[in-house]
Amino acid sequence: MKRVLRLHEKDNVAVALDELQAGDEVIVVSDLELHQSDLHLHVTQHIPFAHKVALQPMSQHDTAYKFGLPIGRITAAVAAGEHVHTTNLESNRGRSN
Amino acid sequence: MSFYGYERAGGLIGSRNHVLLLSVMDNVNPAVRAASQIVPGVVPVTPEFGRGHVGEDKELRRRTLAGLCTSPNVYGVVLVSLEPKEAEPLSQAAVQAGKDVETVVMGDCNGVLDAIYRIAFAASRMRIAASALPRSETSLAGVCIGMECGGSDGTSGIVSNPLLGLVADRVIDAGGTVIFTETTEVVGAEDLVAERATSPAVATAIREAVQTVEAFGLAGGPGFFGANPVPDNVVGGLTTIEEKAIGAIAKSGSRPINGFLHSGERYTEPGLYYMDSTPPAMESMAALVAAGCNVILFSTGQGNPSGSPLAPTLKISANAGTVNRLRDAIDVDICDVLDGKASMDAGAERVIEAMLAVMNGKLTWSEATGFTDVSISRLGPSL
Repeated sequence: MKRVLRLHEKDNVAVALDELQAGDEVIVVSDLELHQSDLHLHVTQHIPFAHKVALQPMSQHDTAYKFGLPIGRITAAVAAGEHVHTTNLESNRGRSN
Repeated sequence: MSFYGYERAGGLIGSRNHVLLLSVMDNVNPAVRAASQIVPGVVPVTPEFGRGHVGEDKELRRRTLAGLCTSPNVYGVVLVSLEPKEAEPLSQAAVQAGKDVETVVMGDCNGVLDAIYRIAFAASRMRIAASALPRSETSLAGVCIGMECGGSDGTSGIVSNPLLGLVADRVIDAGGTVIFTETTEVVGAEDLVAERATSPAVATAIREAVQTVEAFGLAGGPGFFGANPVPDNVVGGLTTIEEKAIGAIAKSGSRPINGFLHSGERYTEPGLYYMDSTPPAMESMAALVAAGCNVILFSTGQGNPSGSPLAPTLKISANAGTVNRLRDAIDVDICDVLDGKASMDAGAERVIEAMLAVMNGKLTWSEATGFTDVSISRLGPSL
């Protein structure tokens, strides 16, 4: 079964360990060596290999967490199972605005 | 962890025994390139610029070039310069480091072809002398590993870099030295790095380096957008500099950070060092070599094939698409760790075995294909 990796319990995004298609049912693992999990995710968009997918709904201005740490702010509402990348996530650092 | 290396002055160990042909300034680059076409098996280094540098920019260049000349992987150096004065500090540094040194000054030669001949003659003599030097059995204490990442993607921060971090821990525990760098790619992760410093001075230096880079990025207008993460990072799934940085620093492992180095500054005691340098690989690898690195472990996701001509550079990747496509550029495949079929520890062991083999003389892909170069960073214009 296809897997996504949630690195830390605080994370609201996971990393696709396989390329995912809209409609895929995947398991959410907390470690690379795990191939089973009670946590599942229904993917609703194409997620390229190693890209991020939302584990839960997120609103504009929410903080995205990966590695248990903030990696930026959500700029457009995201539903669970959707692709999280440059169209809905921006950096809080190195910005001039 | 033992291997066979070249003993150098000051207890340093080389993993290679290179004859370096170095242009002191770019107006003699063609002579160095031509000589390296005549004499096989030498390393020409012909960076751009070299005249009209002032202040910190001048010191950065001097320090980096001196570091290349005194690299433990270098047997000797033929310095090539238009006039003698600019070559002097490099010549002195190389002599002090126990290197075989010759200087060819264009102003003393009867034309460019004469200069090329003199460089080629010095280079071939040095090749013979270098070839007589034996390797001796030695340990990792006395060697220095550079950690680098390039062409990073979503696999880098979850597999390759943490795996290199395990390698870093083992090298440090074995008495060796590890240097990691790429300051822009600490923005967003500076707390994680600074809190491991063994002294307030080191922690402050790390934070100030990050602040300086961030301020520079902001002063330009659009900040980091488009500059870092770079387009191949974005294609590979990295969205923000914070995300990239948290993943990048994992390659430094978990041990305390004993020291802070400026770009290209040579380390003193064994330990784990943070070096303030710019991220692009050709520049940061040159800085790592100048700082004393014998070998560079370079994680890549999307694929950056470049290596250093002086420090053998092993490419490590957990991206199966990249490993299959770049058949002549990836040295260690750790895709099975991403697939959960091998543990991080097993992957780290594989990298260490590959690294020791390379330090014993086995070539990396970038050495075998000659896909190497040197860039020296600039901090300002030439006056």
